[in-house]
Amino acid sequence: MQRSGASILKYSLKRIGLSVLVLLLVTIIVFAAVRMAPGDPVLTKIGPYGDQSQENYDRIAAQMGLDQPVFIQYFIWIGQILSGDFGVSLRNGADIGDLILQKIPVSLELIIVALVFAIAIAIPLGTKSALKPGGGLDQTLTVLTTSALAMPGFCLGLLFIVLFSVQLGWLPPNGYISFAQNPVENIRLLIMPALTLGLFEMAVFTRFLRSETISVLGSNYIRTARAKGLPQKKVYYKHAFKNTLVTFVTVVGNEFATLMGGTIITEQLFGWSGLGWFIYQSVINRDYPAVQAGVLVIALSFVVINLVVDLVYTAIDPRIKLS
Amino acid sequence: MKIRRVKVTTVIALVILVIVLLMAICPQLLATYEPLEIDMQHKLEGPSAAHWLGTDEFGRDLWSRIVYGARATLSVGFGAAGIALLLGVPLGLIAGYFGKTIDNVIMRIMDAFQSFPSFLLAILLITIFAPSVTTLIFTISVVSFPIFARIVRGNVLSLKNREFVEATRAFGAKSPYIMFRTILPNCISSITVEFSLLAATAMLIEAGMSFLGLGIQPPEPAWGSMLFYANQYINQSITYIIVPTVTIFLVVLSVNLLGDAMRDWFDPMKLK
Amino acid sequence: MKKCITTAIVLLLVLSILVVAGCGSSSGDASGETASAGNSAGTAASADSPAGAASGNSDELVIGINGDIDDFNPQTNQMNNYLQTIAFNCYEPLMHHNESMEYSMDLATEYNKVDDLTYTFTLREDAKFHNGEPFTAADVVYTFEYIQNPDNGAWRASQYTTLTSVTADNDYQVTFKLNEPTPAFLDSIAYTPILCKSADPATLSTNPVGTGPFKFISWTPNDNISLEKFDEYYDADKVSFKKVMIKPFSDYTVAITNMEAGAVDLLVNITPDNAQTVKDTNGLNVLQASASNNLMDLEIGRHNVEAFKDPNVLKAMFMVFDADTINDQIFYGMGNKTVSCFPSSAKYSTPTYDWTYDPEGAKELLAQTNFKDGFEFEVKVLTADTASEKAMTIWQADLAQLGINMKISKEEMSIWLDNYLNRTYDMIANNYNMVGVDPAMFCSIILSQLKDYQTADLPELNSLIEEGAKETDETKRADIYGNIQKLVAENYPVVEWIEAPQLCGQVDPLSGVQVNPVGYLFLKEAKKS
Repeated sequence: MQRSGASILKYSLKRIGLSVLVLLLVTIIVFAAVRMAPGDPVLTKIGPYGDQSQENYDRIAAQMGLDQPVFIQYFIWIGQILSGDFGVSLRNGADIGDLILQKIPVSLELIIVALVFAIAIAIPLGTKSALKPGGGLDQTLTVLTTSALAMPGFCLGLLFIVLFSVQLGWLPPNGYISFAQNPVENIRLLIMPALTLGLFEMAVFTRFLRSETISVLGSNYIRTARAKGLPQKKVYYKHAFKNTLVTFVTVVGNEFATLMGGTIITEQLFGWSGLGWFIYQSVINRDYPAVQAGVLVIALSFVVINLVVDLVYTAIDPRIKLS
Repeated sequence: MKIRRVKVTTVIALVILVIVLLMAICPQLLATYEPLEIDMQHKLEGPSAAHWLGTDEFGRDLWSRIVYGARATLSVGFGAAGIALLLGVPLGLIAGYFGKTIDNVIMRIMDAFQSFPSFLLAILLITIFAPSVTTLIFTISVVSFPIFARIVRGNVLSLKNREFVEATRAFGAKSPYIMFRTILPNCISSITVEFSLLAATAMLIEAGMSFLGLGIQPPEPAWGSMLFYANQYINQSITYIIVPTVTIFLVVLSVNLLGDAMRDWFDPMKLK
Repeated sequence: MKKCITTAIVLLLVLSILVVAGCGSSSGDASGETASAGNSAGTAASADSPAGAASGNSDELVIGINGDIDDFNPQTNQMNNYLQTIAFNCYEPLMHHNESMEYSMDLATEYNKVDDLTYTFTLREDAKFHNGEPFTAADVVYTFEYIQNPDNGAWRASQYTTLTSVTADNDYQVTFKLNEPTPAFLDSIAYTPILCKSADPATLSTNPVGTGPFKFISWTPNDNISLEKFDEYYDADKVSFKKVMIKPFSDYTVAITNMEAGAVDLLVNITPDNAQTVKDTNGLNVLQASASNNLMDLEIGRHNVEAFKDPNVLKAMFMVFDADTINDQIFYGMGNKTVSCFPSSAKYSTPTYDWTYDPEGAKELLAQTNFKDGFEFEVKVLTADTASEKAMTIWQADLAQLGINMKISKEEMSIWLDNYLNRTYDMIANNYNMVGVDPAMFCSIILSQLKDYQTADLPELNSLIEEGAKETDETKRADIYGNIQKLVAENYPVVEWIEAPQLCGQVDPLSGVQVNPVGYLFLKEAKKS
């Protein structure tokens, strides 16, 4: 079919519109969920030794803006967000926008490094092992990847700390320092958390690529191509690789998005103070605006990633029609 | 057609899973002590004739706690993966097959679910409903069923215009028949991989949640929470942390290996 | 053939995990034997320290704390991890309780009790705030105005309900006027940090300005809190650290590993289990306060559970509370069994508790009540409170012998607090660090909070608490507080079950850290050789 620039634009606009709808849904879910959780931020603020009179309670609730009806609170919040204001922390009045901006690059650095590491290893190994299923490489890889997938993440992390920090003294066990401030230290601190995440992701990707490649190789058109007498390797790289890549992009996108909020344990373990840990801390403290803002930022990044993946998907797979 | 031989690893995995299943069904057969029996005089001991795998910080028998913990951990793993599969696969099939508005509606809802950071959503849900086996199953399936939907849909999209599907349609087959009998079997490969991955992941999530103190609550034994407590005594008793780690490792490994074996078994593409 | 290889690889992998993990452990508990042990505290540290933190660096102190701090206003933050580490090193009170709970002068040079209702303090003339402003009496006046203004939500306000005025007699003398005799007044003063009147009250939580030896520089959430030596501090020549870096940890196992690797010098508020590890590790030692005011307690919802309305049921239950085993096994004998609901260091503390473990007697006693067939209840424990959780697990097994089914429910802070303050619990585990020696404070904070609810059927107790707070005659006070301890022991509104040890872990080269029985750290004279 013919693809004009206009139709791609129209499709993209439509997808963007839908994405906005998705985000709206997310704001409602997070706003409701955080308020449904037991534990009252006003009482948390008053604490066990503070003034427990109703009068004091009302005063603090009013200071936090929690005395309004819930739906009014929601609209006030949405209004704030639209004007680019993420509000202030219920705990200490700090500007949440600033805090989140500070945390995003920290998380991104860890996630991107871990993913790049994982992809760089997974693509050659995954496809190679699929070309010769049951071969030596395939067998070894299967064992390694299934093992990596079977290890509870924080056990692996602990193992690294004990090995590389305590035993060998090669790497600092804990902390974060920005790249701009000290590039060498930044990388040294990054190695263990990135490895902990990266090994797991590598296993996910390798497994996926292997099974996807095998099934693509078994499909009719490849068999047809092979029946024409082309060698398997050539057929694979000419025809199958692109197909595999299509679904692989989705998987990578998915993992990326999952990691955006899913690195809490790794971050905590290695003191890598990223966004996930920040939001988790805010959940524990029932810092409503901080949780809302954090989740929204992650949802936004997810939606954007998804949009990009979708558009890339359409671009590389000729069989998917623009709807 | 070649007779498919069964791998040794598959057999080992199967044996491990059968034992674990047995632990979950009738723990009293395998356990040597009551899982809650406290004996402070023998706390944090290594393996011995009396305590095969040693004891925990209350002198409770680790082997017996592993045995009694199997039920909770397996329930979380397979319960969550099963529910996610039941929810996700039909949605993915429908979305992919019918396309257009139906696809859009379903996938946007999946987007909303998925654009929520899943681990954080799980934490929120667990805080709302208080940590327990049921909450964990519910939570993990809610955060992961879109993965099934997405993967199945992706498969359907690339399958539905293939010759063999077109052919079935040309023969006058109805949509449900095409969806479930023609397309679904071709997705089995991805579904089994995903199911085994998810069952395994669910057990690992249970462990992860326990690390944050949101796992199955004590004193009920569960592997994840054993890991959490063992972690506090890592310097006093190394067997304590090794026991649940290796148990989880072996079981998750077995599930994955079995998933692989099932995929090889089912996958029609491999029949040459 | 291949399958055999695969199997072998799997087995090898499992084995290697075991071996590596095993090696890991040997460094933990037997590091004395290996050369790498010295390495872990020394060379590894200086070479591999994160963020410039290093044991080898005698200018910088790295402190590990349990969880992050997000509020640096000493009048609004009442969390232990803040009060113990930062509050009294950034800020100073007029005076504080030293290691033996005696008053030690800070911003005041002396105090004078003019009469029961009047106190005067003479102030130090050489103190300065971190913003360069000199410290004067006006700052003291400002601080108490701040505390008493309800809009500020200062949690110490309840300690100063009898304070009617604070006046500056001149720049370096203040007079406090009370409307009722308040014997615990000086105890309150001794833990009230003084604010700076010229600091912006709106940003106190993130930009504190005190007079202490260390000034606040920055806070990066979940990463670090950075303090720096205040060069204009009046005792600056005693302060040897140029920088203090405070790092939050959510997992103390990891934190101890960090200490081993030389990335942390001092770990605050470690558990007794942690302490054992620290003791067994070469290059690390345990810093324990000489006494402890930290009471672990169980507050009992006497009106939520039918069985708890009968004191004999509670009596039977505590007859199977094995306090000795709990102290030995959970606290490694480092704690003290409580003698009454007051800490033993408190004034008027008289033995009223009987911790004899007597399961048979308990069974007999319970058989005489309406609950001989047992009943069910739930005890709520804070997630981070591992000591209570462990003690409850032991008690649970003993209670089960009586047919009483106790469920342990772990709750995170905000949920726990919700239940605690709303009194929605059968039983709840709490701990209370009594700041001072006068039991009036304990009574007003722990007992009187229960007043409306749990002690409502004990009008006697309520009136005694009120009397005690204003009575000035020592013999009468001793009498009143003796009766309070007796009533509490007989009626179980709350049971204090142990004085938990105040423990910190530190690296060997560190010295001079003072920790008082409340658990507050004073870093002024700390140094690393």
